[in-house]
Amino acid sequence: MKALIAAIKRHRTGYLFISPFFVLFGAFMVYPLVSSLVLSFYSWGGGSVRTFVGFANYGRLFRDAIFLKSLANAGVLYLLYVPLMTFLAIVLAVLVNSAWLKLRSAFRTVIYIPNVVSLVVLGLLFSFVMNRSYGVLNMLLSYVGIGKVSWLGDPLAAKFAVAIMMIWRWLGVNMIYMLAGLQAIPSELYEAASVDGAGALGRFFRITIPMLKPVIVFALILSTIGTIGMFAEVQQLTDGGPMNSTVTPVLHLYNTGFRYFKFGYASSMAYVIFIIASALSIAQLRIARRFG
Amino acid sequence: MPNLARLVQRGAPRWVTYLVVSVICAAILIPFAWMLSGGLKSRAEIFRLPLSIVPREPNLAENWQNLLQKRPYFLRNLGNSALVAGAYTLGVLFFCSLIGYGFAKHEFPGRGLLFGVVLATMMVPSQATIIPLYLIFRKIGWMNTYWPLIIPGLAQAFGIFFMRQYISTIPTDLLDSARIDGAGEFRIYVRIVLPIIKPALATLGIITFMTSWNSYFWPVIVLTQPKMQTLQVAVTNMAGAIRVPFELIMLACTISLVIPIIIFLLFQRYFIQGLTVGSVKG
Repeated sequence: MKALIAAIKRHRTGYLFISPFFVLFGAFMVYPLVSSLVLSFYSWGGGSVRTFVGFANYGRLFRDAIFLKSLANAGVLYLLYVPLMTFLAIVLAVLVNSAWLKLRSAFRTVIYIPNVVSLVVLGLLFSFVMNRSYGVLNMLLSYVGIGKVSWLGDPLAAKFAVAIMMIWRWLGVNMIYMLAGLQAIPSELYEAASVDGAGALGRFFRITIPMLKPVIVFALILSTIGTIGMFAEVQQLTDGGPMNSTVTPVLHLYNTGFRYFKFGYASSMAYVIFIIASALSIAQLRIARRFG
Repeated sequence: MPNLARLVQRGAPRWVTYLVVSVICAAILIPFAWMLSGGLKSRAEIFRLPLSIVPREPNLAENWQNLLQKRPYFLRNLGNSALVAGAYTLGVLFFCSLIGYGFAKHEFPGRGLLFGVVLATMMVPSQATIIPLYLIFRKIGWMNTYWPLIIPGLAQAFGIFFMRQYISTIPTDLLDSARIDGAGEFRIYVRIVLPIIKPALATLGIITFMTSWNSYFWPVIVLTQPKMQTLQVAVTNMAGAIRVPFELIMLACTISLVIPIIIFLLFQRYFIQGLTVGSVKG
């Protein structure tokens, strides 16, 4: 004990410099995480009465049709936009990486710029872009002979609407990750492949994609966490509708906690979402390692 | 007929690249154009067929008047966003550089473990702590104040990580010679470390400002009074109206985007740098 105190005293400047983190960490991270866990075993509407219910909140989650639907929606949305977006990001990165391309930095800037749009504005903007009668998307589609699509009124179309919005917002940032990854591929690899007679497509699939693998895994993990955490953009675009076809886990969590004030139940939901997101991220890392 | 196999072998001709990239850029720019034109059109024109991207009779002055009438606190909301984002950014720069300096240039038992704790907090999503955080701030009476938007995230993990990486590159001899001259530790941080890490402060500052400016999940929970709301929250309240005033919402959205876009165009280099710190390990 004495030795410990002496050690702390000897190194006190170091501890002093990092101490603000641990003060804030305790107050705004550890305490809420513990408190949330405790709350998840209670039924509580925010008033003076709090009832201990054991694991009932967790049991209820597995019978909550909207919660289950939100998890399924997140899965379907992920499949609808993430593979396509990631592939497009790689292709675009390769294209805008060409040394002969004129205006390359202008192209990169344009592709990246949706990323500065806030998620709220994103949802509002696309509700206007995808309006059935007065939106620009149906207007453009009519030029190629496609009739009016009820983007926000049809359960299936609404999922595509969210997917299109997500690709628009996140394509650029994924492209930037891929561009950074491309810089790390030694050009000798491409030269050797060319000497061996590999074509452009061969080089793309045999060298570019395998060499980018760590970056692709990183991008996929961010997309997973991002899909599970979708909230503001969906709330503003569809508010989870029609018929809960686009409700997401965090949107349901928000409604449960802050529209219906079921704090205990919402806390159990927050924990389960947190665990699912962590498990999926770890699983993706593991899978990537096994195949590398 | 062109030999497809040979085409693939050689790689697509250059014009295909230009075509693909231009189509994607157009698809990205059209929604922006639609937003801008929506904010300029009169309500009648928004609902007039055939639709047109270019407004025929721009109605900006009247839309602006209507916006202020419907949202009397709009300018205040704008100010709230700027104030909160500015204060939060300054706080983050101070605390993260201080803590990053502690981790980078001081030896103490448990340093690796404690830094691991910092990094682990990056894995905790905001929704996991949001209910107790709300209850804390409600209990101490800080609802509808700026504090909940500024204080909890001051020592965020990404900022500390980023600062530690940068400060690690400062030669320790430089700090030691200042110590020999009798400078105190805090003085060394202010006089030597801070000036050297200016570029890193710029990067972190810009990213932090934008994140705060665009945030919504937490502000919508703690800011219920129109006067105290930030821009992002105020814009959604307008959309809640029964008859959707598209032109006012699009005008408000356009205004809320002006600052982020200017900052991005001016400091693009710093952004991309901050973005790629995590993706490619150094």
